[in-house]
Amino acid sequence: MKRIHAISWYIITMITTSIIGYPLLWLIYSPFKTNKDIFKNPWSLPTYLNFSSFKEVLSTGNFMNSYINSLIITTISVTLILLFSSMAAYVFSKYEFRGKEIIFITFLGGLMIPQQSVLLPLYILFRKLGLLDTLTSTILVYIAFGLPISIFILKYFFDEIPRELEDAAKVDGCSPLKIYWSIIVPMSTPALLTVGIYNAVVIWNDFIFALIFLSSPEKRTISLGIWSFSNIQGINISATLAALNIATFPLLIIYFIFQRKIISGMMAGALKG
Amino acid sequence: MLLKEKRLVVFFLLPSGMLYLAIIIFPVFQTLYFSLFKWKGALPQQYIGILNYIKLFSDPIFWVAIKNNIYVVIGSIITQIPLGLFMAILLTRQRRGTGIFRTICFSPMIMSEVAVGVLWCFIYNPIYGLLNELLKILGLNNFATAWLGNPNTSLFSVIGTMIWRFFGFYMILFIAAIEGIPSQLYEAAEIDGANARQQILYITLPIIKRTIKVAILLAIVGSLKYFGLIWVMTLGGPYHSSELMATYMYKKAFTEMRIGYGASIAVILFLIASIAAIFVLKFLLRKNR
Repeated sequence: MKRIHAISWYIITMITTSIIGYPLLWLIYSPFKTNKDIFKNPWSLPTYLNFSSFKEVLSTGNFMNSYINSLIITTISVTLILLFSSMAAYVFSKYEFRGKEIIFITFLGGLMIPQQSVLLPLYILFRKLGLLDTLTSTILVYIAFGLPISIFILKYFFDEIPRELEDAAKVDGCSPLKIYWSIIVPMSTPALLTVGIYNAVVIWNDFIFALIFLSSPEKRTISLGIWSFSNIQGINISATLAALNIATFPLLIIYFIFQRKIISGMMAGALKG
Repeated sequence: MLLKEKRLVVFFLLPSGMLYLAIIIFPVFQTLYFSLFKWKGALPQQYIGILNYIKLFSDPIFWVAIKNNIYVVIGSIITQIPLGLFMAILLTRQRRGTGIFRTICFSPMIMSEVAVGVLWCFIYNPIYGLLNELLKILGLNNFATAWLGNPNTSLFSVIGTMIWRFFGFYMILFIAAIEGIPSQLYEAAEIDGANARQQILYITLPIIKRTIKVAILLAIVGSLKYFGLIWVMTLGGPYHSSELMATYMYKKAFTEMRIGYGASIAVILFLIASIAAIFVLKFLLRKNR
């Protein structure tokens, strides 16, 4: 009986997972086929490995450039989100001051605000400041939108750090700044990692902000890069799939290595958001 | 509080506070303000009160967008959540391979929406697409169509892609909930002779009922402001057949540069999403009582 259960479990799971996983598998092998082969039979496996599509994408300067832009934007935004949100969370967690409740709730309110309700004023503001079509504009927006959830998660993590630790440090003559930097921050590495991963995935994959604030080809992020590549080269299926492949795979490999942390990070973010 | 500490509080809140006010809070009110103007591109602005809203509510395309948004909400709830739940029940069995199956199911969540959208454009393509090719193999040629180019199928095709992209999120949510159920409950049920189906029906589902509700509410809020895959795959078309509030707002505000009118769509979207979000928060807070 147990055996039958196990076998039927494997059959059902294998079938469902193959259906779910097939588009990914197709994305992995199809760019190795020529356009002609894909037209003839999109399902078939490549009979030989054709790398020309990959070469074509890599030689399209702007596409690789968009990769670098995404790296720059994500790194700077996540670093600053971690710094700013941990500072604010530290104050919210460890200090009592007038208006604290109101300020904290205002920050939490940000969790509910859809991106669409800030796009127009920001577009006009950035145009006035000459920030339109600069990486800075998106970085500013990503930081602001990353703050509420990050402050929220970090504050509740900091609340769990025992007070005695800080009190002892205070007796030893540590300044509050030093307590934050050499006690709270190092002790919160797991929470900071969770928050960092969540924000990195969201920022790396963002589409709408990049679409609106970045316009010139050399400022494109990876999402815009794929989008414009597929719009221009759409008929060149093999190359478009190669571009998708190049854009997706580094991320999937990182995901396979750190999946536990990534999944828990994404859950923490989405649940509270 | 010491002066030194006061300074620290201010200094530590300043960067977050300034950015948050300048980039989120202030623009929300500005959008509201913009929506009261007739404002097209570079032409001079003219105060018109609530005229934009009156126009908006008699704009048939806006109603199509709201209707489509409701389809997306319902479509997400009746597909992504049951599939996520089904896979979660399967993948909480500790057998060899469970981990790999979970990894595969969650991986669409890691891909960017643009990548997912472009990939699925190839699946739905009328000439060489995987789906039509499959129908041909199965002898169902009559059902083959230009999935994204046909106004009757465009919205549902994108909703189909949304299932693939988002169900893994709900799966993980349910897996976490199911793994929190004490195993003694199942052991006791087994001794009493309950089979697997009964265990799911009378233990698992009642216990994770709250998680299912949370999932439904998250799906509602997410679907109302949805933009990504629709924009990549259909741009809201053809003939507005897959138009959503968010895509319509983008077109009015950034393609046609009708800033006032676009702002009024953003305000309505904000209101609808906020009401839904308050509902979610109320619900989540009730859980903690």
